[in-house]
Order: sequence, then C-alpha cells, then structure tokens
Amino acid sequence: MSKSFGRNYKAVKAGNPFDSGGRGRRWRDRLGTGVFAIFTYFILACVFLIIGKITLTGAPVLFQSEAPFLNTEFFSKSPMTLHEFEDGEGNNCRLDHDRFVDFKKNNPNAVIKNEQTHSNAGGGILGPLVGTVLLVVLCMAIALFIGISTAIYLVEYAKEGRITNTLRLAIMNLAGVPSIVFGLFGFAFFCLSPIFPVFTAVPDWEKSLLAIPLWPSDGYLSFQGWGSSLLAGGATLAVMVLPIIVAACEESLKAVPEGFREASLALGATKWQCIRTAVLPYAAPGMLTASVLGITRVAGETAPIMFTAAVVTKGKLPWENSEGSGLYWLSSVLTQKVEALPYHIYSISKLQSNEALDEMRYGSVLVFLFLVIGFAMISVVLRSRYRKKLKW
Amino acid sequence: MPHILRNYDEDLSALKDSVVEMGTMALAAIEKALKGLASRDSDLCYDVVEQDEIIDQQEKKIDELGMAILLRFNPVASDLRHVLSSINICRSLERIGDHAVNVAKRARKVIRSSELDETRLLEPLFAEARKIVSVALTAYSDVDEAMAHEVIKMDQKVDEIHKSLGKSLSQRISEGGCDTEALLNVIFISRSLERIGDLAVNIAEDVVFSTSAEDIRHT
Amino acid sequence: MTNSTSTGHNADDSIISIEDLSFSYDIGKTNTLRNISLKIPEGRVTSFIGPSGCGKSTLLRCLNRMNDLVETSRITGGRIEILGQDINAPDVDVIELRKHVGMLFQKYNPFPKSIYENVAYGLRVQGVRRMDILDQAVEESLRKAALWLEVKDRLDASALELSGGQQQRLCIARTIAVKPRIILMDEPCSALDPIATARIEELISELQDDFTIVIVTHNMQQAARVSDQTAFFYLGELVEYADTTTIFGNPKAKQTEDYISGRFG
Repeated sequence: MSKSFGRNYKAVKAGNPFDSGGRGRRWRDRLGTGVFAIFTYFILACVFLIIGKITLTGAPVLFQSEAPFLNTEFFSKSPMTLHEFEDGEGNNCRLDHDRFVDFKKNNPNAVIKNEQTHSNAGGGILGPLVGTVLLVVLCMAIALFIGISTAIYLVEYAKEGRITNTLRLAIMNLAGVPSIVFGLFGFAFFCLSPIFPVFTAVPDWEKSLLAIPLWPSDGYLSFQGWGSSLLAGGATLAVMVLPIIVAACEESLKAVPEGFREASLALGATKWQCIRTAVLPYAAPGMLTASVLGITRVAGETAPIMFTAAVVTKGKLPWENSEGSGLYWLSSVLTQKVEALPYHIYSISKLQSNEALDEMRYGSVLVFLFLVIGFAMISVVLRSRYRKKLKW
Repeated sequence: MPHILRNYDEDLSALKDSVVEMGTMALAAIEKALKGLASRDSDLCYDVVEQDEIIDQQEKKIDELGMAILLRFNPVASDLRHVLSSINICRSLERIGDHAVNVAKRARKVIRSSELDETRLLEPLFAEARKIVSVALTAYSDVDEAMAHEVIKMDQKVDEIHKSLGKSLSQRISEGGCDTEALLNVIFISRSLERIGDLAVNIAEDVVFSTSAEDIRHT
Repeated sequence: MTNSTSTGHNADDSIISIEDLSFSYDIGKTNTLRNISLKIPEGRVTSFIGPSGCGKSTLLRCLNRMNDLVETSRITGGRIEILGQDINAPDVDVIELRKHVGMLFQKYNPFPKSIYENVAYGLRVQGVRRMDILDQAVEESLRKAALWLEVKDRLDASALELSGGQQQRLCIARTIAVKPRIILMDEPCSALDPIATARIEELISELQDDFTIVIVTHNMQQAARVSDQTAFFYLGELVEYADTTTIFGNPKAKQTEDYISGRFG
C-alpha cells in the first residue's frame, strides 16, 4: 500500500473551500424536496377533510348542548321511520314512528297535515351497533381460535418445507381474495351447506340433511346450514381476517426468543409443556394486539356480511327476538339476521336524501369511525405497553 | 507458523535476542578474564569486573520483557516454555557473569604475585568452559535439542579437567616451597570455571525443556 | 489420553462415552462431526475448545439431544452412551434424558417470570405441585448456585431485574433444581463481564463435586482455569483430548499448539 494513500485529498480552493459554485444544483434539490412534501401533505389533507367533514356534520347529531350532552336516544333506539307533518297550528313536527303512534293514540283528534314518512331516518343506531359488536366478538373468537392453532402448528410443529410453504402461500392468497367473494363464499358455505348444525325445536325439513332428536327435550340438532345469521357472518369475517391473524400470530411466536424454548426443553419439558409455559405466555400479548388491529379492518367490511348476516331493519335486538332456553336460546340468538353498522350506512346512503336522513347518515358514520379508530387505538396502546413491559 | 498478533512475535523474538546478547556478554567476560590472566593485564581483568554491571542490567531488562509477555499475551504451550526457559537462562547467564568476575578478581591477585607456571594449567579448562557456554548458547538460539544434550556430555570433560587440576595443584601446595596464596587463587579460578560448566548445563536443560517439554533436571 | 484402558462402561469412571460418532445437520451433505471418540469422566470438568464451526457446540448438543430440534439433522455413525445407555436408542425418552443431562446456554435466558418460578420451572413441568417441596428445592438450588443471599428477599421479583451474571447463575440454579447428573454449558460466560465470569468459574469448580460438567468455551484461559480435561476440535474432528495441563503445557498435535497459542493464519 502506498504511503500517500491517506493523503490523496483534493486541492484546497482559495477563499471558501466548501463553495460548490453550483446554484442550479441547489435549486433542483429544493424542487425535489418540495414535490415530495406536496404529495405527503396531500395525504394529510385527505385525512383532515374526511375526518373534519364527518365530525363537523355528525357531532351535532351525537351531542347536545345541555346535560347529559350526549344524544342518548341515538344510542338507545334502533332505526325506524320518521314522520314529518304539520299540526293544526301549522307547526312543522318530526316524530319517530313509536312516538308518532303514541301521539295519535293520545290525541285522536289531532290534525295531521302534509304527512311525510322518511324510512330509516328516525330512531337511533342501537340495533346496528349491537349487531356489529356481536359480529366482531364472534369473528374474534373464531378467528383467534383457528388462527392461533394454525400459527402454533406452522411455527412449532410442522416441518419447514414444501408443505408449510404451500400452507403459507394458501393463507396469503386468502388475503388477496376480494371481500365480495368472501361474502358469496360465506353465503354458499356457512349459510346454505348443510354441514353446519343448529339446535332448533322445528327443523327446516327441506334444507336439513340430518336432524337428530335430542331426548329428553323436544328439540333437534339439525344439520341444515346456519342460514343468513350472526354465526355465518362472524364465521365469514373470521375467514377473511384469518390471513392477518395467522401472520400476526406467527410473528409473535417467532419473536419469542429461541432461548426460552431451549431452556424449557433442556429442563425436561415436553413439547406441549414448552409451548404452553414458555412460548404462549410471551406470544399472547403480541397475538392479541395484532389480532385486534386485524379485526378492526374487517369490522368495517360491508360485502362479507351483506349476504351472510345483515338485514336492513329489524325491530328487535337479537336477544329480544329469541325463543327457547339454554342451547336452543343461544342457537336462536346466533342464527338470527342482525343489523350491522356498515350495512346500515350502506343502505341509508342508497335512500332518497332529506334533511333528517342526512343527520342519521353523518351520525352513524361518525360513530362507526369512532368505533374503528377506537379499536385501532386500543391495539396500538396495548402493543406499546407490552413492548415496554416484555423485554428480554 | 507466526502468531496472528505481530506484536507477540516481535516481543518473543526480542526476548530471545536479549538472552542471546546477554550470553554473548557473559562469553566475552570469560574470554576477557582469560586474556587478562594470560597476558598478565590487570586492567583487562578490571574491565570484566566493571562490565558485569551491564550484564546485570541486561538481566533486569529480560525479566521485564518476560513479565510483559506473560501478562499481555498469556503464552501457552511452547511459547510459555520459551518464556520460562529464557528467564531461567538469563538467571544462569547472570551467574556465569558473576563467576567471570570472580575469575577476573582472582586473576588480578595472581597477576600481582610473581609469574606462576601453574596458570598455564588453567588454559584447557578455560577453553573448555568457553566452549561449553558457547555451545549452550548456540543450542538456545538455534533451538537445537541435540546440541543441548551435547552440552551435558561436555560438562563431564570440564569436571574431569577440574578434578585433575585440583589434584595436581593441591599436590603442589602440600609439596610446599611455592606461592601458596597464588596457587589457592588458581584453584578458586578453576572452581569458578567448573561452576560455569554446571551453569551451561542448566542452560542446556532449559533448552531441552523449551523444545520438548521434558524436564531432565536432577535425573 | 485419560481412560484409554476402557472396555466396559463400569470398568472406568467415564459417565459419557462417545464412540466413533459422526453427525450431520443436513443428511446427505457433509458431516459436521466426523468419527469422534472420547470418554468423559464422572465428577470432573471437561472443556471443549476449538475455532468457531469446529463442531464443539454441536457435540455438546448431541449429548442431551438438543439437535433433535433441527429436523434434518442425523447421527450418521457411531453412538453416544451416557450411564451405559445408548441415548439414541428408540426406547429412550428424550424428556427423561434431559432431566439427567441439564444444559446452560450462551445467552443467559431466564424466563420473564419471578426468580422463584424460574427455579421451580423444571420441577413444575415434572408435575411437582407440593409447595413445601418446591420451596425447599428453590432454596437449595439457589444456595448451590451462590445466589441465595443476593435474592432471598425478593424471590417474587422478575428474573429480568437481575444483573447478567446473576441471571446466568439463576439459570444454573434452574438447571440444578432438576438434579441432573451432567450439566452441559455452552459458552456460559461469553456474554458476561470478567467479574461475573470469575463468579461463574468459581461456581463451576464448586459444582463439580456434585455434577459432571462439560463446558464449551472460546476463552482458552477459561478452559485452562476451570477444566480437568480438555478436548480440542478442528473442522469436525477431535484433534486432541488430554489433561488440561498437557493440552496447554505440551500439546502433542501441531494443530492444537497452533490454535491455543494463537497461530492460525
């Protein structure tokens, strides 16, 4: 190596040695920075516009100026028809369907002029809210159970090779399937195919493949498909979220240091003991938080529940509409159609616009937004908390 | 094969060079003492006494170097044996230097008295002592185990010469009529030369230990 | 070589006997270990040294069949006997084997549980439920691991609050709580500072009264300090196996000498 290797520097210019002299170059650099910045702020603008518009228009529907500040009726009533009319004194009145019925009953002689009815513009969103929450809970239960089992099998048991790669590829492909296809699949599979049983007092003999009488009660376990129901909807959403859950659970399992497994096995634990005591406890927080985030994504989907679970209007909440007791009651709750928030928004958006309906729309959308963002926030908070807590 | 650490190699060879240098000094001291005695040059003999200081300083230097290697590089196996034997050898060389000083001091006393024929009897012993030290040093610097074993055989010859010299000298003393004190000094010189032979054997034993890890002392 | 006159398994004091062992991580490809034969004496400390990738850790992990975790790995020849039993025989339950052959890892890996639960883990997975037995075992193991005095007032604290050296000693306590005959240590001090290392080394020499210890180490001074026997491996082969003083004072093989004195070019 030549001795001058380290001294092969540029000759120093007189005056400012760090003056490149290139004004044009500096200008182009600034231009580039500006273009990138503009696109970035464009995204920000979109976010602000969406959230801002919805909040500004939706907030007056949800909140009120006097105590309790929250429009409780909006959350305690299901959607119903709104009656708009002029009474005898020419006042413009708006009444929800239930109030309108009472009004007419209490004032049989009242003058009602120019009565107009707006379907779905009255009441609140209790039904859709409850439906969505039930769907999400069911979806979470099914998806976590299948997803965690799959991830444990793939990470801890299956031999790394062609089979696991094929499995992973299949799961990844599931993530690429459009949501409407999931909806149709769910409809064909969970709703119609007679491999899914329900407990019922009266089997649907046309659909049922096999109905097992359950002595001593007078009901049957009938293999007749779940029909368009809470259960079918939850299962369809679960299938849709599975790729995300499996990937998240796999990541969480892989993030558990190999040292824990080795130490556990070296202490004479069996494989299952090792997974149960030295892997799952430390993977669980990661699995849960990532799963919540995944579920947030499907909770907002309309297409998968359109055929499998959702109904536009339904007078009663699922448990008010059920019959029987014990398993029959549960089965009856789970095999009902439900209202769901995204589908509710979809259907009221199709209706002819009017002032009352607009309020309903913005109110529903704002609640929906809060719900989804809330889920995402919870998962983010949980994740950062566990990250701090579990360091190894 | 060289060490990965170049400093380690450099320090090990510096240690060896210093020991060889010290050996050369000790050898020179023996030769100078002999020359001083043979040419009855008292100043030359005094030089030996003076220059022993340099040999002593060299011993200190080697000790420092050896200790530095031990603590910096933690030598093992042949390197460890090399360092240990080098330190031992420098100890032997220092004592060889001391014996050269003894020889020189005695020589000055012998020179002060009238010329003595018996001093000539010392010459073969001197030659043998000089040779044995030089062979031991060569064995060390060339890492030659066979040569080291040679040294051990040579020492027997030194011992024989010393013994017969002692016998004839003590006979002369008991016959009487000569400078007893000078003769005694000659005996002391002979004894020192014999000790130098023994020390050369020590060096050779260290060389054998360094090369083959065999401890052949006291066997 | 020590124990060179062995025929039967009980005729000498060896607890582990490896005969002509060959091992491959990926069957059909090159063998990671080739024709290894050595006998490890009971109640002594034996160290495995050699450059990275020489197979010393692999051999260690063969001794409690940790390599079973690598699906494609196979023993391609020879056998390992521990306490006279071929450990790869079909009727050997690997769980039982690991109860007798404990292992300590390079990176101290206590579970993110309490100190107490860490030590009790091995007994719990064996189905021990009685608190008095667990309490006693935890105290005894922590005492043996020279950690009791430091942690006795905070057994419920998280193991991760301990210092690195304490965590590794906790791992030792966790291992000895199961009462193995043999403890395998895979570079147990490589992540520790010199003081913590010295504590572990001191512990090793105390433990050798009760256990047979096999230690893999990159630190040759450590092998020289703690072990009675040393085996030097190079490129999957056992080059030399002898008393530690012989290996470090006067090795027979040139490869050993070159390696221990730092002469690999």
